[in-house]
Amino acid sequence: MDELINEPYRLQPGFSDNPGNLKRQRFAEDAQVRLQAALRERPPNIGWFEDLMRNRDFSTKQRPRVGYLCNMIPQELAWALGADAVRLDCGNAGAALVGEEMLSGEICPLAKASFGVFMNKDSMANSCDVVALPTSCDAKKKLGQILDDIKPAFMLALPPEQDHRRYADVTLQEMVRLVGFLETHLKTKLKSGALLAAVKLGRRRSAIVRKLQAIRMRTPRVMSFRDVMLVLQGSQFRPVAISHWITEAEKVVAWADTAAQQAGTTKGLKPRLVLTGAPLIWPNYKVLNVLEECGAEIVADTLCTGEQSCFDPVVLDETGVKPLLRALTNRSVFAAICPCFTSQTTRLNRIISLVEESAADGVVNHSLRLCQLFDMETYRIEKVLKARKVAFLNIRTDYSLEDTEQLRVRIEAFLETV
Amino acid sequence: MNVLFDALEFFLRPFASALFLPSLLLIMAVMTGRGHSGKSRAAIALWFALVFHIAFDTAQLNPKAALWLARIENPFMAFLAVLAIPAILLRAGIWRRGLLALSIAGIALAGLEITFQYKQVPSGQFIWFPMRPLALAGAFMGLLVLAGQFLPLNLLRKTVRIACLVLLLYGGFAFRQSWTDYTQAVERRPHARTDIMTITETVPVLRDDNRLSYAPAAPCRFSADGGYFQGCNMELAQRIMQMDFAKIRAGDTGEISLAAKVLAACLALFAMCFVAGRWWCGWVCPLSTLGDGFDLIRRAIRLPHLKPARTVKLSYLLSGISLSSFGLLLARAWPNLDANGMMLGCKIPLYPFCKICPGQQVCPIASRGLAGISPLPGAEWLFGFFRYGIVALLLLFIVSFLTSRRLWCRFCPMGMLGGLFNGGAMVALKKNPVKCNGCGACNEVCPMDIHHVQAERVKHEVTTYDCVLCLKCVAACPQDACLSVELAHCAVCESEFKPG
Repeated sequence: MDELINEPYRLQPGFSDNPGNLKRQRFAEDAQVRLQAALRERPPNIGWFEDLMRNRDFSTKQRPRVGYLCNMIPQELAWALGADAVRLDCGNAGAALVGEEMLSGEICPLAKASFGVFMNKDSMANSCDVVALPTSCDAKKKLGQILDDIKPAFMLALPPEQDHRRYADVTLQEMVRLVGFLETHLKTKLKSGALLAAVKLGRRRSAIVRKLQAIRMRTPRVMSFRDVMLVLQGSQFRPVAISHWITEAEKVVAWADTAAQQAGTTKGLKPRLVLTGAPLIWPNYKVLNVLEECGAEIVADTLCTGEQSCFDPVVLDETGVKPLLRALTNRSVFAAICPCFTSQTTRLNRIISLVEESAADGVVNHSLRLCQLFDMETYRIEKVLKARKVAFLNIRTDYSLEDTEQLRVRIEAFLETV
Repeated sequence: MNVLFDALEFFLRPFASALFLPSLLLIMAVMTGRGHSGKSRAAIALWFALVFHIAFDTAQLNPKAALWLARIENPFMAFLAVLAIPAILLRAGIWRRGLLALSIAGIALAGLEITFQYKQVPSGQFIWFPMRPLALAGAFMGLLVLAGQFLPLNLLRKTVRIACLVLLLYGGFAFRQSWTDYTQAVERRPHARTDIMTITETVPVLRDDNRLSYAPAAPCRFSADGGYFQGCNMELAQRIMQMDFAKIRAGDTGEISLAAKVLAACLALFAMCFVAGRWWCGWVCPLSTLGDGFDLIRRAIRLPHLKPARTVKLSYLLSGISLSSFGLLLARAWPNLDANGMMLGCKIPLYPFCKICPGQQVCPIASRGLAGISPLPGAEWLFGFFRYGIVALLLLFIVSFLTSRRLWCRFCPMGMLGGLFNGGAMVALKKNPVKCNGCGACNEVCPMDIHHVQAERVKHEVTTYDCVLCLKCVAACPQDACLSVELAHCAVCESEFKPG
């Protein structure tokens, strides 16, 4: 860590090559691929995105690799410094088992899994040069300290509230510190031209996501939500040249647009749901599998690993390094709807806006077991939505597949009420 | 030509009255609030225009009423009412085409008027673009309406600002009413005292014996040849202060008619403020456009701007109020000055506020080049208050615009009047809080560094005292239909996501 907090008590990084566990991790991924392969309407180039997610060979890399957790570290910084930015939040139930044994069973499965992948020497996580995390939740804070033994880690201190007047300057200073950290470890300097080019690529991605969301809000049946997630997560969770991803994603949007026009404007019969809550990361699509298999259409989401992650664009005004960093801070920190901030207003705004825009029949909140933040948010969301007569279902689950059938029963019952 | 303009003037004069546009907008606002459809509102507007026209023409029969009505006219108000505001509010096909056609007609008419005026000019002389104020107002508004149809918001604002800069700063010689008017203005030039402690013998274009036409924000009286408008609201405020109430009490007809002129000008100015609040500051003020030239320098060298702390903002506001109050108080001394121009041992000039205002230095230089530079007043004027004050304020002006965008506008007393109207004027900045994602882009682009727009999560009205309605926030906001600007409760322009 740049502040050398762990220095007196630094641990040697250790790895585990338990083949049974690695097989379990691969099985989780393959099972999800098989399930999604059974979908009827898929974009013609979905194979490119699948290969991107399934790739396990991270030994060679063309560019330095910056690992990060959460949606609040802007990828544009890494791109501007000539590196790939990969999100290390892990959705693999097998990796969560490793974390459970080594850290604790009583923590969020995302934290367990994200730690677990570091125990595999050949994993994508270990191919990174550095790791950057925001101090969003307790798990991330402690994870940062733990991961610093393995890779140089940077903790971006987030403000407790998204109060722009009070905290914009101090959060900008944190971003500047992050840039300094990356410059030191990647041995390169940040130039405003490169940063502007990276921001513009990010804006193109936002435009793609908004377009795709608009198409699916009108005609969700043209593309399964699971495929949307697969397409979007490729740009964050795997090392890929973003311009290449943009080219492929634009083909998906064009295909979806044509399909939507051919499908016509008849309203589908399936119940329309807005999905909100804790991150769902490939291959942990258990909830999505059940929802779609039960016949619901997920027309929009507020997941930080879904459409919401790329929804807000960086607003361009002045184009020096400092103004661009301010704009990035605004987009990444102040527009985020993570429950780690005190106020819930923007998240509720988003849910209500989406329900109104998409004419949704109900809202499904997915919270991960042992996550206090999302769990306690449910208190207000439920009451606000009830006052607005919007059907609401709260699902509390973790990565394991044991409760799939119980979920199915609950979801079927819920869908009958909407 | 004269016949044509006389006819036009008869038709348009009632709409030039300060009584027309505010009342019309108020009626529109009430009707929109009650949910009337666009069609019924348009119908009521036309009926109101007709009724007002008839009432106005009838009132002309009474000489006293005619005199008063003449004092509160402004040709630009006429074209705001007839061209610009309908173009903003009515965007449906047939209205749009009609108003575009009218704009082009207005510009063409101005061209014809210029050729007509040149017929009176001895051959070969170039006197810029002489035309009647009615023709100029029509062409000016027509140009802006055309621009508004095709340009995105930010570019439109820049166009309007440049156009207003040209009109207000160079109108004094470029848009004179006729050949006679132009020659008179040129004749006055050698007599114009460039010593800044006395009034210059210039006459603005839009002035006659009976009427002083002001505009909100800072159309400075000291632009070349007097500028187009009479001046800013502080010039008017000083005139009010300069009135000799003893003479008025004694029944001096000259002073009474001056008081009437000044009060009527006040009414007309308030009418303009009521129509658009502090929008004049954001889109019209030439002083801010010149100041933003310094801001351009900062952007060109890629320097980030300084965000002023709360105490800095407050001290700018309070110093502005104090200094301008002091200047106005000094103007109160004018009727009581002795033969040496002194009172209580202090030497006080005619327009004390103007003498410390940077506008009075910047606008002449911008409109006349180096010839416009006036010498600093001697230290004998109020013990050097003016000599050192003008230097200090000029420095403040330059440094504020160079480092902090429109921080100067918090100090500027000309804008303070507009700010007072900002809450209740016909133009309002509105927000749909449900659409807000809290990103703060509105604050990032705001030249006044207003946080309120981003922070407001409950109410729909987000116009603040400081807001100059530049609408950069509306242009920057990435959420669809989150921020919008309303004219008479009618949404004019909304924020939207812009890909690319």
